[in-house]
Amino acid sequence: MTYIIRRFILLFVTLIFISVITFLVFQILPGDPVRTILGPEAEEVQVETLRRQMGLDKPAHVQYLNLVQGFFQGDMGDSIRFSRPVTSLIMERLPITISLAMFSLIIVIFVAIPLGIFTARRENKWSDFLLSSFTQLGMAIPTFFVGMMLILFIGMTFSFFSTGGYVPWSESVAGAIGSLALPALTIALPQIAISFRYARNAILEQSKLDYVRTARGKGLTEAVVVYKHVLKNSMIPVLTVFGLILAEVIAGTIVVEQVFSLPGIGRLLITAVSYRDFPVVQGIVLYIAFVVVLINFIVDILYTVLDPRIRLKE
Amino acid sequence: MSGRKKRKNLNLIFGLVILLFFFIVMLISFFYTPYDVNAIAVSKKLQAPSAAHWFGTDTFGRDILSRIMAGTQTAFFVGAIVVTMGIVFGTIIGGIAGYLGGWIDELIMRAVDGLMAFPGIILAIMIVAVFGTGIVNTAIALGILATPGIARIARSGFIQNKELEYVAAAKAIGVHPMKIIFREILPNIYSPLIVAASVAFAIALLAEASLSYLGLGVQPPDPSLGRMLKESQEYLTSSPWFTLAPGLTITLLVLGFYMLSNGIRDLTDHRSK
Amino acid sequence: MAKRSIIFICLLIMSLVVSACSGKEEKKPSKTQEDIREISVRINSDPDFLDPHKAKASLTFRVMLNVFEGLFNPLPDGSIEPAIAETYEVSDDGLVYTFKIRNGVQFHNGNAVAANDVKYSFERIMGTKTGEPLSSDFNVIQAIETPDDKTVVMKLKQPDSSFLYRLTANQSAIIPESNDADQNTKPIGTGPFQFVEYNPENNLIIEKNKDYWKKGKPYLDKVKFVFQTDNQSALLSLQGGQVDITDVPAHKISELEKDFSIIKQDNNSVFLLGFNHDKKPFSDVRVRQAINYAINKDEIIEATFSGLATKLGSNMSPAMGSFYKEGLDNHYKPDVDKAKKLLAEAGYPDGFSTTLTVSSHNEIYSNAAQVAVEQLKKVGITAEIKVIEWAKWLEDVYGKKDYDMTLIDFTGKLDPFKVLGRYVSDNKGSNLVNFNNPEYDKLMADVIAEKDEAKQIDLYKQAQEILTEEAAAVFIADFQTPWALNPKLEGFKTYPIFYMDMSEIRPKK
Repeated sequence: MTYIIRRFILLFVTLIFISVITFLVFQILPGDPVRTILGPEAEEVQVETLRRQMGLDKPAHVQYLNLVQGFFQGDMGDSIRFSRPVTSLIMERLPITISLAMFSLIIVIFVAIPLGIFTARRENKWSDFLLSSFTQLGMAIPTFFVGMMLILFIGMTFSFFSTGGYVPWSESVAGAIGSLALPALTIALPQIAISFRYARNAILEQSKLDYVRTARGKGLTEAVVVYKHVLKNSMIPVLTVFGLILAEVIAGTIVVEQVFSLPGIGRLLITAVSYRDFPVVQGIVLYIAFVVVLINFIVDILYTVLDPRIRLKE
Repeated sequence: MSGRKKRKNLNLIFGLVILLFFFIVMLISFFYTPYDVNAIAVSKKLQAPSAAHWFGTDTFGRDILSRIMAGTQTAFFVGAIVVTMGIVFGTIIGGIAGYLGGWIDELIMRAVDGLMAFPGIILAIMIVAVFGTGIVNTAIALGILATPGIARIARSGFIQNKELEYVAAAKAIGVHPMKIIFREILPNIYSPLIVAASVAFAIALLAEASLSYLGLGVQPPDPSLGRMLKESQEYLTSSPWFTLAPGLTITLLVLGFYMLSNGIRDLTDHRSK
Repeated sequence: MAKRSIIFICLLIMSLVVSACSGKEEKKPSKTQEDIREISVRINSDPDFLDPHKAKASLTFRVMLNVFEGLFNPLPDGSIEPAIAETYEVSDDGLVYTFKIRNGVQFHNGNAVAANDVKYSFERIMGTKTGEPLSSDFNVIQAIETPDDKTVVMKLKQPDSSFLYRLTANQSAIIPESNDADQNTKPIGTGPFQFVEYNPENNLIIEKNKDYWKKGKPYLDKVKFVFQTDNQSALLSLQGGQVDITDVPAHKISELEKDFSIIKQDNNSVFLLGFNHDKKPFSDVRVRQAINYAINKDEIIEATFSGLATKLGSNMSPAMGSFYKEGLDNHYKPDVDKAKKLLAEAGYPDGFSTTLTVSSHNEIYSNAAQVAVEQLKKVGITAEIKVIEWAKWLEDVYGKKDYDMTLIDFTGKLDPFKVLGRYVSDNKGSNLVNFNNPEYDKLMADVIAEKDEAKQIDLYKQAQEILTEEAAAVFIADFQTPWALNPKLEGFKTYPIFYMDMSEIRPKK
């Protein structure tokens, strides 16, 4: 219990640290949001007036403290560029990014685990090398290159897959799947490469343990041994790995949203940085960091909870 | 894993072959490329691969092969800076944290955690926005990114070693802590650091490509493989070679570094046995 | 457990296949009916502000000129016609403008436009009551009076020949006072369409104003502007039928020609290579001329705009009609020897080193920069390209004038004075190149006081010649925007400003 409280405090400290870093970075960034939004046609008098109206003429630390104060009241402030609450901007895009992340995670799970089982049963030198090469290749391909290749070879051939833009679930389920499938696959591919080896190694390690030998000795069929015993026990460490993969997937959405022009969180973040829209950047960075830290936190707790049980079973 | 000893270290061999190949290509590109890397010949734009232009030409009629050759310079340069920065700062920070322990360790590791909770690409975007784009700034940004990960590895190495006899002996005769960190412990934990460096190189190449792809990394006219991919995107369907050539080059290069890192890991695992 | 998971995977695959097949049918252009009254138009980027008095970005007006009107409206040929004002009179001394408000013009909230609304709109821009001006465009106005509900009298401090051009919605949209605070979230105007909703980075929807004063217009019921930055996905949306109108990259025209109507619009913009006259060596006119001889505009046009651009010679595009001075575009024919000779005369026989700072927000700048640098190399000038963020460009280059050379595109205006006025020496804000020429300043002072249009044209033409001869910049081109249109639509009108007139677009009969 003290462990959990300690972790909670650390989570809080981490978020403050990130917020301060973001603020400091924005202090050094050249460029003014109002000027950037208006472009070269802006007049000096207009820039000044708008800055005053939007409260941007106040000292930076005052603006920042106001923002932080708002945070504790559940208000993330208003976007400078869109003059509307950051929370609603994030909420509008969240379904896209979450769908994308979940879709990728589902692909990873449904490909990596069966692949892990399949390859674990065929263990020899050459397959070992081939599989590790495959893993390394999967990690080596830049995600956006994967995306472009998928557009070229799949998106252009099958019209079902949309290669740019997003169709909301509410509009058409098939359309939503079509618009998310290729980007999700793009994010999933390197993660499959990593996680299936985890699954495979976990299975191999389990199958060398005593209880498996005992099970075999009892005359259970191979299928029962593998699926009933080995798989069940080896999935626990694998599941914890998926926590980390989810974090990777969330980060992956940022680049992939650019490749497939999906209007998600990542896209909002990149344009917000270029327009010097500090409240939006701050909101998104904190949000993503919060989710990542939280996932790691859950994974850690999951691990400590599961660990003794595994030992008991052995 | 007993059968492993006799097996050839295929990862190491393949990794070294790939990297050696690109290293030679890079060296050649300093003295010779088939065409001038930046020379513009608008009339020859977007030509398909041919005997004259093995990988075709880009939107300005520039030879893609020549630009890829020069692009490997950028890749190695950025990678080298990132790895150097990562190893130097990572070892110092990790060493101090791991060796001294206590609240200093706690403080440093929370900062490291904080940096790692930022998705790397976001931090890179922000750092680049501050320092500006370009080869050197991109490399510095990515070097900062590489540091926390290496610091963690270094720290755990130091923690494992600091209780060992030779360190205790050095402490007993009053050797300065900094000397213990760098003279005594460091030589004993070099192998995980070399593996980490090799992985960091691979990740740096990917990150440089991603940043340049987002338009935030290396800027024209400097050739960058990631930027070439960005430039090619609009012509993906009509001129696929423009995308394929730089894309496959990055992939192979990164693969080389991953294989090298796994190869080294296998090698050092044996030795420790 | 294993069997169950296998079954589940099979089901998942099957459902994907099924949805794939059903998806295919859906993908066929959904607008099969002959009458298209709801269309989607792709726009590259979001508006800056919905409040027309706050907005400055050209892209905003491309959309919002469908919602707002001024006392005058722009016409496709670049002239203006009375809109909210039905008639107007100018006193002989050019100091008093009297406007009669058109009967039957009402705001989207149902209220008829009255003289007060006009007065309010102008005073809001000028910041008369608040002390917070949004523009200096109307500093020339001494007082606005409303003798009756339908009459507005504006008294000027001095005669201003370009005053009327500033009375369109670009600079002075007429809006109702009752909506003062909400203008940026729920804008209200008098235009042919009324605002429905705006979803940032997604879309902006407008619908037909049923009470529009031009009877019979608009033809469309609803227009959805979708914001897509990426050309590739915009093209796919066009081909998929999700978008009816979009601008397309020039190199894609041949691919699209058979399925879509292609309309090429002159932007009336000036794409130029500017240099900082306050800095050496660009303070020397011979160096500026040498660079003009070194640059091959045709090559830049080919590489950057796939050839789809009109070559320029001064800071004005032929789209400005009678104000445009012809024959300047070939004043400096590419000539390496001449350029070298001029450089030698100026004291740079071996050329010099400099930087070319461009913004990263649009590929055209870095593309053109790469070509220009190679051309400059041939005359011995080594220019290093520095690509910076748009925000930084606006602050350092445009704001502080801290640069050697740069590339920029000045978007079009109706008012020739606005186009050429940026080279007046005391125009610190927009005089990007720090041009300083007393003769030019005098011409521009004269033209503003000149009442006779023929004489104005003559003065504007002289001003353009000075810019060319003094090599104020390398005026490269006015690039065209190619539009691809659903072939079932017609009535697409192009203007010499950023304005997509949706009120004339209608289904083909």
